[in-house]
Amino acid sequence: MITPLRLAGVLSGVGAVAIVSVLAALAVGPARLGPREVAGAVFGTAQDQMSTTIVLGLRLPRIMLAALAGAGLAVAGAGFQAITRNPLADPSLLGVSSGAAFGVVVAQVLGLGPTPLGFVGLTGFAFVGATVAALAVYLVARVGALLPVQTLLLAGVIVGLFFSSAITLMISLVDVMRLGAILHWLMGNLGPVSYGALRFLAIGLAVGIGVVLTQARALNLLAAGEESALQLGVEAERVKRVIFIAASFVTALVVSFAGPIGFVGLIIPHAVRMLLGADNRLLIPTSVLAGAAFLVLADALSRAVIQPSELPVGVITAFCGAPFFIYLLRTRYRRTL
Amino acid sequence: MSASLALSHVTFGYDGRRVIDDVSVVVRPGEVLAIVGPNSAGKTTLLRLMTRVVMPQQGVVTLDGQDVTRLARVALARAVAVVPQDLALTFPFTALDFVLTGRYPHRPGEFFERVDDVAVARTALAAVAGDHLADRLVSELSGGERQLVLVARALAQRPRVLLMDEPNAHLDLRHQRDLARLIHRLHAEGTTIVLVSHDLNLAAQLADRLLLLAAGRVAALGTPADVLVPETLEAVYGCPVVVDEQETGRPRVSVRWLDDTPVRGGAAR
Repeated sequence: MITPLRLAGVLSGVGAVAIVSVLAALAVGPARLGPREVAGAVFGTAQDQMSTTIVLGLRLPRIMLAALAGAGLAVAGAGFQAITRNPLADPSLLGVSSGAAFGVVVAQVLGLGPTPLGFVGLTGFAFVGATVAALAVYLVARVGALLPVQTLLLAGVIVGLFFSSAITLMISLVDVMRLGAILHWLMGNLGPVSYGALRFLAIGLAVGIGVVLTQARALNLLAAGEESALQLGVEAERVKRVIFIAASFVTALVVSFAGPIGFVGLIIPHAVRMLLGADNRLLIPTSVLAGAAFLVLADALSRAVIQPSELPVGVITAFCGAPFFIYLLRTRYRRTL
Repeated sequence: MSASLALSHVTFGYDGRRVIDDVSVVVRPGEVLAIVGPNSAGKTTLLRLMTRVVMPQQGVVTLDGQDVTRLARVALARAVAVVPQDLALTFPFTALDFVLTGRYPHRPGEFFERVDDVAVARTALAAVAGDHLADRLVSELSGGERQLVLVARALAQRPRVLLMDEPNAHLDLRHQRDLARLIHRLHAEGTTIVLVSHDLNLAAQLADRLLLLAAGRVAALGTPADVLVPETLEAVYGCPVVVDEQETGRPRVSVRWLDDTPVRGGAAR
């Protein structure tokens, strides 16, 4: 049972974990900075300008990007899972991330760059790509009024592959020199980012996540099926449409700024559900913080393993997510396959 | 205050196939009406029409004289609750959380339930003797326990009309008795009850009137004694039956299992 007190308790706990993750991640990087220097930079008491520049100018924006992307992907996953009533739905497994990535590449080919107007255009194209992919998956996977696990996952994989190939084709035709960079980006890439871009992303995510949150209670009723939700007064079609759009929008935003990072939307809501139960009013806000913490740590790891170079963060999330997914398939959802 | 639910010349079908064909019936305030009939006679579809899951293609469904298609969904859900045949929950909700969803139509705009909502949910669980299930996950309950939790959710809605679709399908004898007593009690408190059942004897025992549905049409409507007569039943079900008396004086229907005499009317169509 969820009460304001319980929600506040859980959120402060997970919030503390997220903050600790950010502080720990600030200490990771090619320049060796100890906890004292990091703390000095954060609290403005540092003696040397250099460590402040590294911590606040280089590392912090990137960590904030990771936090925002993780929060968004986790909520998008929880949202898609709730409306498909399928616990394995995730923006990357559903092909929605690939659709969004295709939109981003189209926008870049058209010359949209890192300006405020460029951000709007980029996100707009990504959003169109995400919704087209999600709709395609939905139409392919639907059997009558149901979305069986098997067909949903298959349709997701197929649509995802289609859009990845379309990206490769387009880049090959337009600017083959960038193919390597694009493939790197397709694994999820947390590169340098301006505070302006972060502000845009944060505002967009706040809107998208806020919309998902307003439907949290109705989503609980939807868990027992559409007919049951209708009979309890939930306008099931409307709720599904709102979540569909909001989750696609959140995915599009994240992909526009961080590339199609996989598995976060699968891992985080699942882990939260195992620990705290399925109530979306607890699950969604907790996933925001847990997703942020998770991707911040994954990014720190991706920067630490092959210093001074780095891995795309999607490599880390896939190394966590793939075994987790296999475990879920073989144990918890064995019966549904 | 008891509520009345009425169908007037309702026709409905899926993909051109008629499932409900010109059905008119008034569920009187405070009565127990049982809807019986062969498989695919349209019994569950009638419940869907009553709760506006589907809309009539012709005719009108009214709650206290108001067209249900013009009522807000939450308003309808405050008055009419459904106990479905079964429930498939993929996500790990506890029984108490699930029963609490029955409170949604009373305050749909609020994010949290209130303390009194929780009290109503606990009372509802207690009414089906399901207190001990409160913290169990619904996905891990047995069929019978799930049925109890479904009934509790409907009770938590505090409805004036309760629709039950095969409520004792998964219940053992003791729980069937508990459920029958609960229906009796709700009836005594003035709740209007519509019971869909395959079990003619349960229907005869609990219902004031029976609606016998055959191929989407009303084959008979009246007291158990009026409806449960061999000629009618044999024509609708297409098999030989014997009707005698239950202990309580209500009719009892038994199938003549090994009797080969052909029956008049044959199968329902």
